[in-house]
Amino acid sequence: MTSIDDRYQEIDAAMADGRPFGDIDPYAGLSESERDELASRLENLTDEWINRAVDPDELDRAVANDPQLERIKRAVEGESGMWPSMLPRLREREGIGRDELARRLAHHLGANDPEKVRRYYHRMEWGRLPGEGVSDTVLEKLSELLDADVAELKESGNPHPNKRKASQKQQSRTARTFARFVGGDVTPGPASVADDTPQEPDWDETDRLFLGG
Amino acid sequence: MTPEELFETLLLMRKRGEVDLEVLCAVHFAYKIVTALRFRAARKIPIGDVEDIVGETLEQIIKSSGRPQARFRRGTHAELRAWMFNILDNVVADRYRKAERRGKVLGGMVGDSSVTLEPESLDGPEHAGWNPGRDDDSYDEVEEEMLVDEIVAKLNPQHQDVVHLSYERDLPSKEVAEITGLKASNVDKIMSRFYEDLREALIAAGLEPAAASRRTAMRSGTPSEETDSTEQSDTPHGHNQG
Repeated sequence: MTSIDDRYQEIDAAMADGRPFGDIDPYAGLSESERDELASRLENLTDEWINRAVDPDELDRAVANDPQLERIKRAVEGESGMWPSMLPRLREREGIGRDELARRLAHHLGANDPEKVRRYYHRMEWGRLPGEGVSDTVLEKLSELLDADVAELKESGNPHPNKRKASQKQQSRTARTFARFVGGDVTPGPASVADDTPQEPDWDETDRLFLGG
Repeated sequence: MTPEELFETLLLMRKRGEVDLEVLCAVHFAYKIVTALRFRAARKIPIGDVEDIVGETLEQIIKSSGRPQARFRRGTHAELRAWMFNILDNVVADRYRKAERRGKVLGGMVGDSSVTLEPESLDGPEHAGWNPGRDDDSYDEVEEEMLVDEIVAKLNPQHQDVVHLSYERDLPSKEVAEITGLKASNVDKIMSRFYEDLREALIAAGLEPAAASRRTAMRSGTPSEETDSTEQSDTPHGHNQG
């Protein structure tokens, strides 16, 4: 029988090691009153943890080890709104692999080139396909396959309207300000993600479905 | 950097379109809160649903940084926690409500006593914004916020930062000046012009400044001691011309 103290120490050690809790139930095997007590102690623990300093290496490791953080990163830096987080989540909820979903999508769309649909769908999950270009037809089929609300799916694909690349000068100025806050060096990353998007005159039906809006 | 500062910086970077820094802030912020969200979710729902709910909550939180109601207003850590847990509770409630409507079983435990939803999470406003200090007269504050957004949208990025830090963060002029690299007197001039514009907009909208935000009412009637009327005529007007 695990005591609350044991469980708490186990969790504390795991947090210190930067291990995520995706598949561990902290409350497993505890009585209702023990769950309440542990919940209260964990709230205090996370309150302390949330305010401590995080160095850039620790953050990099966390992103590499925690799919939730990695997806959020892809979503914020990409062109597909929250799809890099939302689509894999919905897919996992339905128990469908990425390639399998792409295959079903191609079938539902009646696409002649399933491989092209697969590539486009992958770009949606990786944040490399502008959300506004993906047609309602694709989103409707996806919403059926993923049992999701089509309006929510559409809205989630829009990046923030203010999103634009700031001038290098402005970025540098803000980087200096930000570096003062976080106490580290902040270097702007690459300007954009490369893609293999064909030019409009060369579009086929699949291109139009994923690029034409 | 505290999570409150991180979230505020995230809003600022997003507003300025500084994508790389926005990504850094968003990930850093998510890292700080994700464990707390996981523990909270695990207490409420079966472990098999935790990652799904936490993922959706993180999406809502990051998306909310583009909405006016997510504006930081003297947020404290307790308020941050209440705000993010409120979002999580609403995600849980929405999820189970939808599943029940569709007759779907989630984690094999719908209806199980271990799935505890607090009444307020079912009936409360959808994803109420983190807006500490809001009370029963919040309607006028919402309108005021919309007017503020309109005024701020017309300012150049530097003046937007000043308003954000001074009005929304409530930082003193000296700190705003330090962050933005401006002189404190210029910060006061920019804010004086902002309050003047806001006061006019409130009156034009049929909202008495005194009946709207107490803070605005107080400030719009009492410019900073460092700013006098002669300085105001020299105020560098930050409105965008294009």
